[in-house]
Amino acid sequence: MSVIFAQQLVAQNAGEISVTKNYFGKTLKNTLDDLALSYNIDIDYDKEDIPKGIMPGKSFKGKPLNTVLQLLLKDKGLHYKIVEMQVVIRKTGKKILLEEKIYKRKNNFSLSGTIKDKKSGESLPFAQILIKNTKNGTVSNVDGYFTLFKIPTDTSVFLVSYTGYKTKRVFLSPKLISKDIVIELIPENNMIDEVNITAESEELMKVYKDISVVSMSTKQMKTLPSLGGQDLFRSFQLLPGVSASNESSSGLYVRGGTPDQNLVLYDGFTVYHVDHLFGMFSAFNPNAVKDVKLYKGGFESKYGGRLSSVMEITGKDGNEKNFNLGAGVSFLSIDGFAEIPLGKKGSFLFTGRRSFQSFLYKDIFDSFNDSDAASPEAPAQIMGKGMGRSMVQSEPSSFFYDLNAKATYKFDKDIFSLSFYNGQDDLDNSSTTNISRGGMRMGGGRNDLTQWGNWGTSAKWSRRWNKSFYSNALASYSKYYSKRNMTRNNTVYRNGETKEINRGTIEDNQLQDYTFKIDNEWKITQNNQLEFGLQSSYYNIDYLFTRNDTIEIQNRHDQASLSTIYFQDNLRLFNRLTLIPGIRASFYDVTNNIYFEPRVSLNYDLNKKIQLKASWGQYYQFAKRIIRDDMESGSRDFWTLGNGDDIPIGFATHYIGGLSYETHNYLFSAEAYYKNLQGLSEYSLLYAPTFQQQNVNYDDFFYEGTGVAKGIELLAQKKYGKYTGWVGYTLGEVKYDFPIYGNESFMATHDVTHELKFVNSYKWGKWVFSASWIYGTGKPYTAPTGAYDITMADGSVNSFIAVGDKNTFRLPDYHRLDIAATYEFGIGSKSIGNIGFSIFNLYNRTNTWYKTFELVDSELIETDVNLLGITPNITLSFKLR
Amino acid sequence: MKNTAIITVMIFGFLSAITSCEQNNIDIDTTTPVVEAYLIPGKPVEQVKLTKLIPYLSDNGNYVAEGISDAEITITNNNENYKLLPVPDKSGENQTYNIDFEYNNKTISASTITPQKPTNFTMSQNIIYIDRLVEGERPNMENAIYEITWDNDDGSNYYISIDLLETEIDPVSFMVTDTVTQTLSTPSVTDVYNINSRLLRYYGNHRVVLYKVNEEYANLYENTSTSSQSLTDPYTNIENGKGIFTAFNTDTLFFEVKEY
Repeated sequence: MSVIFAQQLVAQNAGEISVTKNYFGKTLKNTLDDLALSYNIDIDYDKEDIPKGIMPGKSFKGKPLNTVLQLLLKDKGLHYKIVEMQVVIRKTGKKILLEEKIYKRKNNFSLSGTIKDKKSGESLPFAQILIKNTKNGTVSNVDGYFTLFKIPTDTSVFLVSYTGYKTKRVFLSPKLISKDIVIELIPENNMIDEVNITAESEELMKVYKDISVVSMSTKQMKTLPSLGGQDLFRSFQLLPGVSASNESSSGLYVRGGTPDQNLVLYDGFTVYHVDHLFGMFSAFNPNAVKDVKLYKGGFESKYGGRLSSVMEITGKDGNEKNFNLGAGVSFLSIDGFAEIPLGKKGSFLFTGRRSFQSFLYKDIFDSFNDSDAASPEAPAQIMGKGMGRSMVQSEPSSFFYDLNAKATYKFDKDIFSLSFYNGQDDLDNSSTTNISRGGMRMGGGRNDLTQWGNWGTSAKWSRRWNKSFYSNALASYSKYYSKRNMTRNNTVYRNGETKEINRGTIEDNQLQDYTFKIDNEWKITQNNQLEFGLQSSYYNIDYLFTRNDTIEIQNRHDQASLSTIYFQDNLRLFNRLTLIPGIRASFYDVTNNIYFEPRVSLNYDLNKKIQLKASWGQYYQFAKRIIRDDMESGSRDFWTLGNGDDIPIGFATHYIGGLSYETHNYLFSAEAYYKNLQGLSEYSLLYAPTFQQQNVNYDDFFYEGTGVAKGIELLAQKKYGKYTGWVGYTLGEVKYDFPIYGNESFMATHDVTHELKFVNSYKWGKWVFSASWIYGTGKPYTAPTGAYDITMADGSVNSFIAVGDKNTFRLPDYHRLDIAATYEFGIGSKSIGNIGFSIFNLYNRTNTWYKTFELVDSELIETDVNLLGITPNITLSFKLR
Repeated sequence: MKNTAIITVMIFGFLSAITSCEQNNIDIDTTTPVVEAYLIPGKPVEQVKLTKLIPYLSDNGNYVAEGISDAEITITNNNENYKLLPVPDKSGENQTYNIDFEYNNKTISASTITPQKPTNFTMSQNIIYIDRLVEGERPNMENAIYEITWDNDDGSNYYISIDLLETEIDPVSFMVTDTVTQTLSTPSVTDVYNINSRLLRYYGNHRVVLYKVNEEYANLYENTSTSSQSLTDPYTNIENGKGIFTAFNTDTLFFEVKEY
C-alpha cells in the first residue's frame, strides 16, 4: 500500500532517500517539486535561479536523492546542501548558510495552521487533522484555521482529510513547525493523477464523529444522478433521516421536520426559501459552494431559531492563485463562474445560473401547472351561455436565475469577506380572453403570476488573536419575497365610467432579516474548547393577502428583535469521552420573554472502532413559515413571526441516541431520535365563512397544534475504493395533533414509515458510473367518505365531497431508480472538461403526487396526479483549471 | 463483526415494535343523510329532499344517490310544528325555522332565519331599446349599461335571476340560435347588478328576481378543494348530516326589451 510505503521513506537524511521514479519531459522546477512532494522533503530554491525548459529524460530509479540532485543540477550553475530532510539550492557562488536552516527540536508543542486547496488556495473549513497513532486531533474552523496542542514530537505525522479531497499525510519537520503551517490538499478529480503517493482517498459523504452531523463533497456530488444537473439539496436527500420522496420540494424534511424548521445558513446569513421551479431544484449554484454540513438534530448552541436541523453552507472564496473561468450547460440551465485573484492575498468569485426554455423545463413546468386547481374564479356575471366565441390565449413564460459573488481578503491574522447572493423564480401563466359577438369585442384577462426569490449578503471579519483565541464578526441582511397574483380583470361600466375590478387573490409576503453576530472560539487546552457569542436579529415581515381587491384577509406588518447569547464547552474527558454542554438564552421583544435552550451532546469511544453518541436539547423557533391551505392553488405558505398569541412560538425537544462502527473502509451507523414538537401553526380558510362578512376576523383562522416525530436511521457505507456508496434506511413516524381536525392525532402529511436508499458509485478510469434507488412508503392523504349533489335554489347543481378522518389513507409507495455516467477529461495541460449523462426515473415508475376527486354523473371519480416519469439529461461543463 | 450483529438485532427489535399498527380501512359512510330544503316566504316548501351519500369506492360503477323515505320530518317555528304545506299571510322576516328528524338513531337538525325582504329594488330603465342585427349588416358598436340597484347596508349576500317571460322566442341577433332564457348571478355581497345591452339576447318581457340569501347558502358556492392535499369537509349547516336548510327573501321587478 502506498501509505506504508511512503512512511518507510522517512529517513534522517534526505540524501539517502532512494528515488523510485523516472522523470521524462519535465522542467527542472517540476521535477524538484515532485521530489519534494513525493518524499516529503523540503526543497528550498529561488524560482529565478532555476532554468526553464524541458530537461532531457533520465532514469533515476533506485538512485539516492543525493545522486539524483547532482545529476539534475549538473551544468546549471547551481549547488546544493542537505540538512536532515531539508535541501537548499542556490546559485553557484552564493553561500548556503547552514545555520539558517537548523531549527530547534521540539517536543510536546502546539501548532497552528491553515488547510487549503492546493489548486485554488481556497481555505477548507471543517477539515480533520489527526496526529497519527494518537487520538489527538482537531477540526479546522470555518476559515480553515486550526490549532493543535500537545503534539508529541517535531517529526509526528498529521493525517489531514476533507470530503472530496485526497487525504494527506504531513510529515512534520523542525523547519515546518517553525511557523504557522499551511497544508494544501489536492481536490479529487476523476483523471488519472500523475502524482499520487501521499493521497489516500476521497469521500463523497462523510459522517462526522459528532452526533447527527454529515457533510457531502460538492465536487463529488457532480457524479450523482440528478434531474437537471448537480443539486445540493437533492444530494442530501439521499441520506438516511432526510426524506427523498418529496419530489416537489427541494427543501429538507429532516427527521419528521418540515423545510422551514431547517435553518439554512449561507456564508452566515439565513436563507428562507431554497426552491427553484416549484421545488424541483434547490436555489444554490454548486459552483459557488465550498462546503455543506448538515446537522440532522441535536445541534449545538451556536445555532438557533429552528426546531429541526441546520444546514451550513460555506461559499467558495475563489482562486487566489490564478485566474479561473468555467461554464456549464444542461437541458435545464446554463451556468458560469469566474475567479479572480485580488493581489496576493485576496480573491473574487462570481457565479451565475439561469434556466432556459427546454423540453425538460417545460415538462416540469407543465406537470405543475396542469395540477393547479381550477381557474381562479368564474366571472360573477354570466349573461347566458353560447352567446359567442371566446378565445383564451396563454403564453406561459417563466425562468429562474441565481447569482453569487464573494470577495475575500486575507491578512496574517485577519480575514475580511463580503458575500452576496440573489436568486429568483418568475412564473407567468397569464392569459388574455377575447369575447367576440357580432363583431363586437370585449377584453379581459387572467393573471397567474408567481414570483419568489432571496437576496442575501454578509460581511465577515475573522481574527485570530493568538493561537488559542479566534473570533468572527458578521453583519448580514437577508430578504425573502414571494408574490402571487391569481386574478381575473373585469371591466365594469358604471355611470359612463370604465372601472377595472380584479377578482381573485393577491398575496405578497416579504421578510427582511438584519443580523449581527459575534462568535468566539477559545481553545483553553487541547481538551477544552469554549465557544461563546452574541447574536442579534431584527425581523420585518409583511404579509398581505387580499381577495377581490376589497377584502384584506391578512395584512400583517410584524417587527421583532431577537437577542441571543450562547455558551458551549467542548470537553474531552478520560481520553474517551467528548462532552458538549451548552446553553442559549434569547430575549424576544414581541412576547417580552427570555427563552432558555439548554443542550448537551456526548460521544464515547468504546474502542477504536465503536462509538456511542447521545444528545438532548431544547429548541425555539420565532420566525415561522405557515402553511395556508388553498383550494385554488394547492398549499401556499408565508413567513410570519410568532407572537405567543394566535401564532405560538415553536418549541421542540430532541432526544437522540446512536452508535457507529467504523473501520478504514466501512462505516455502520445507527441513530434513534424522538422529537416533541409544540406550537406548530397552520392557517386555513377552509373553516372560515367564505363569503364576505363584515364581522369576520381573519386572524381567527390560525390553528395551533403539537406533534411527535420519532424514528431510527441505519447507514452502511463503503467509504473508499473504486466502488463506494451506501445503504440508508429510515423508519419514521410523524404524528400531529391539531384540535381543529378532531380530537385524535393524525399522521402528518410528510410522514413516511419506511425509506430505503441505495447510492452506488463506481470509478472506472476517467468514468464514474452511479446509480441511486429510492423507496419510500406512500404519504398519507385524506380521502372522501362519500359525495352528494345539491340542487341550488336557482336550479343549478353543485357537487360536494364529504371527507373522512384526516390523513388515514396512504398513496402508493414511492420508488425510483436514477442512473448517471460522468466522464472527466483534460483539455490542454490544465483545463478540465466534464460530460455527464443522467436518467431520472429509469424504469418510468408512476409515482403519485396526490389525488383529486370529482363527482361526475353521480359517480365519485378519483384521479391520480403523478410525478415525473423517465427524464434524461446531459450536462457539459468546462473549467480553465 | 459481533457488535454489528448485536446492533442489527436491537434495531430490528425496535422496528417491529414501532410498525405494529397501521390501518388502511376504507370507511364507507352509510349513515349520514344529505338534506336539501329551502324556505321562501309566501311560497310552499316544495320538497325536503333526503338522500344518502354516494359512497367512495373507486372501482364501483354508476351509483345513484339513494333516497331516504322513512324519515319523519318536522319544521318548527315558535314551537309550532308545520306540515309541509303553504302558509299564507305569515310574516316572512327574521323568523327562525328548525328542521329535525330521527335517522339511524341520530337526531338530524338544522336551523335557519328568514332574511329581511330586499329594499329599494329598482332598475334604471324599464324599457330597453336594441337594434335588430340582420346578417350582412354592420352591427351597432354601442353598448349601454342598465343598472339594477338595491340597499345593502348590512353586507348581505344577494343573487339575481333574470327570466324571459315570453313563450315566443324573438332573438335580437341572427347569431343567437339557442334558447337560454334564464340568467343567474352567484351570491355575492353587492348592491348593484349591471345589464349590458350587448348581452341581452331576446326581445320581450323579462322578470328580475332578487334573492337575499343567508351565509349558509352563499357558502355552498365557494370552490371546494378536490385535491387529496387539502381535502376538508364541505360547509353544511345540518347537524349530524350534510346539505342545506335555508331561507330566502325576494323582491321582483320587470323590464321589456324592444326593437328600435
